[in-house]
Amino acid sequence: MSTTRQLWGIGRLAGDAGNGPPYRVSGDDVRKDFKAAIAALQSLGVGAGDHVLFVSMLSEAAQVGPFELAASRLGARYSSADAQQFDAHRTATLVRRVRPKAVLGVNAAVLAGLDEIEVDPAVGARPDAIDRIPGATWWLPVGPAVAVGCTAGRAAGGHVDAGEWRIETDREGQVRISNARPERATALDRWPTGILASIAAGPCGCGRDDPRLVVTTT
Amino acid sequence: MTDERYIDPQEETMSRADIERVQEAKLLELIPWAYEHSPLIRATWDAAGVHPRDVRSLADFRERVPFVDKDSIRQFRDAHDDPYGGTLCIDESEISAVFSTSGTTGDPTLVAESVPRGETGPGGALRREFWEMGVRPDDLFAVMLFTFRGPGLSRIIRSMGAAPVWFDHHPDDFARFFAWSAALEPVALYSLSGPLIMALQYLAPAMGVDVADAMSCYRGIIYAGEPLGLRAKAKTDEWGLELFVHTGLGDVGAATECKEHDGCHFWEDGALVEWLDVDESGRGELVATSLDDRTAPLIRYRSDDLVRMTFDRCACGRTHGRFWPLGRKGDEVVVGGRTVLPLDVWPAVEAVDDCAAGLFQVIRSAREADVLRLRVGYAGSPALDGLREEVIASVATVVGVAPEVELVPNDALLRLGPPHKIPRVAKS
Repeated sequence: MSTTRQLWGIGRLAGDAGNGPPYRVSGDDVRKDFKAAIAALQSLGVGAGDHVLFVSMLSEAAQVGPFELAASRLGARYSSADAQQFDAHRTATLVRRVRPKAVLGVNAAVLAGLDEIEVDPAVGARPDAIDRIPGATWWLPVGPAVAVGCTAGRAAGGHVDAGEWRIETDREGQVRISNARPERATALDRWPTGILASIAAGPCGCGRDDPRLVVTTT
Repeated sequence: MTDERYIDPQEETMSRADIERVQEAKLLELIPWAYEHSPLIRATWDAAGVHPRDVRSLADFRERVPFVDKDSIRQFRDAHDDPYGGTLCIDESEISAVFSTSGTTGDPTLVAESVPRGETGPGGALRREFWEMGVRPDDLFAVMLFTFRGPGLSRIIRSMGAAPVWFDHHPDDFARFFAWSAALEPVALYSLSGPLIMALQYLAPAMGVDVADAMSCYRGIIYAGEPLGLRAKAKTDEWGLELFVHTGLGDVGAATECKEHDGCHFWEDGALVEWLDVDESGRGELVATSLDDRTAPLIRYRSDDLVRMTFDRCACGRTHGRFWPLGRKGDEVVVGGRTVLPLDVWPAVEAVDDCAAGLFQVIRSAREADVLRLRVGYAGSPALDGLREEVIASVATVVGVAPEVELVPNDALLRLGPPHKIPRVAKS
């Protein structure tokens, strides 16, 4: 258990329906997650001088924060907008004004507030929006992590950082996630994510070999 | 850090002469930098025939330096296809992030940030307020906010040896907020807003939650978004919550109450604040200059915010200025020679029981109007004719002007804004 001073923050596990345990993240956890986030952004083509827009909620800061740090490390800039209908105008404004290379985390609530869907940037969409955005790839919050799609396309699924997380499916096909190393501030053992997916192992078309979650039903 | 009242005792209680010495030194460094690097500042100063060499003192600054405002930034932005409105003083490659204002009344204004690794970044002086609220190392600090403000707040909290607990600024997250407040006992919350207080009032009983008990762990709570209405204040007092009103400092920072609750402190070692065009009633416009910002500094920025202001020492011992927000200059309506701001109407609306949420808009097609037109929200299913008459009478008594009133359900107004506030003025 980390002390308060070692904590980077406490957020929410995705899919916990509001009743899950606090998701404590230490500074050391973030440094580990940040490395995988760099690989994920690079695989979407993000590099120095680019702009990335993250569409999320503050309760997801423990999951999104490492991606923000990764964008900065890559020499890219980032912005944030809330994943709520009221804030869709911000996503629209930022897409228009800063022309992001990638917009990650778009959901149905934001789509409901947009006049049109911008398809120029790479779009990482959540399950409730991905069918409505041609060419979008995955931004799939999965408990403590985010499974992120890549240039191999939507069918390839979303990558999960094997260095930090062990994923498996239970009899019902639900994805369960566990710590791959015991040192993380929050101990998770087969946490039920609420996501029905299959797990693809082996090298991906994008060149990475992290396991991927392939969602068949959205 | 000590357990004294101040986290930065020397800076927070410095003499007026020392404040001005610090301001002048910082200003004389900032001005050539901004003139050299900010296209907006250079264009504005050139048009006014002013050069940095003309400014050698605070007195020169106040006498000669031209103003900028939100319109000039927007005009520069649109004319030059510059998302930063000509304010950016660094190369785009040095920007680490771009955040934005709430955009309640229009396109959000983009705010570029460049924070060297390991540093707190802009707004670091907030730790003075957080310390005053009772935050200490090893504490947890609940942050109930939006993402578009960026991670700066969490960085400041960590810099104090505390840790943030993140919630969404939305009633949908109340169940978790109540459960984790009980389990984790954060000592501070950033922030409550009028709509959230209203939601707490109605939703908590239905959830079987006693707000006073559920939030008893909080030593201090930032209140932001809009002015704190009398009804909301009475309700939070009843719950035993100590709210610290927090408001913007002309887009160059923030101002926050101390435990004396006698105006919002602004930190003059980081901003030069002027109070201009003060009328006989004590309303003047807040004009601010950022002294520490080398990324996109605003110089003599006319905020459009009308405030009362004092530079007298506060009872808390702090020597920096304080102000009381009154409204926006652009929101003024002059009816029959009488100037009316939304804040003038507020107590009249919330005094009516069915309109206790204080949700209303002033309909303003021009600054001068023959009649004060209001769109007022109500709860439940009251008899509308009687309610309209009640609102008209209340406004006439409090404001001195009998309005025309359109009644709409509260939800219709809440849908117009972000969850922490609504646009208080509409053109139609």
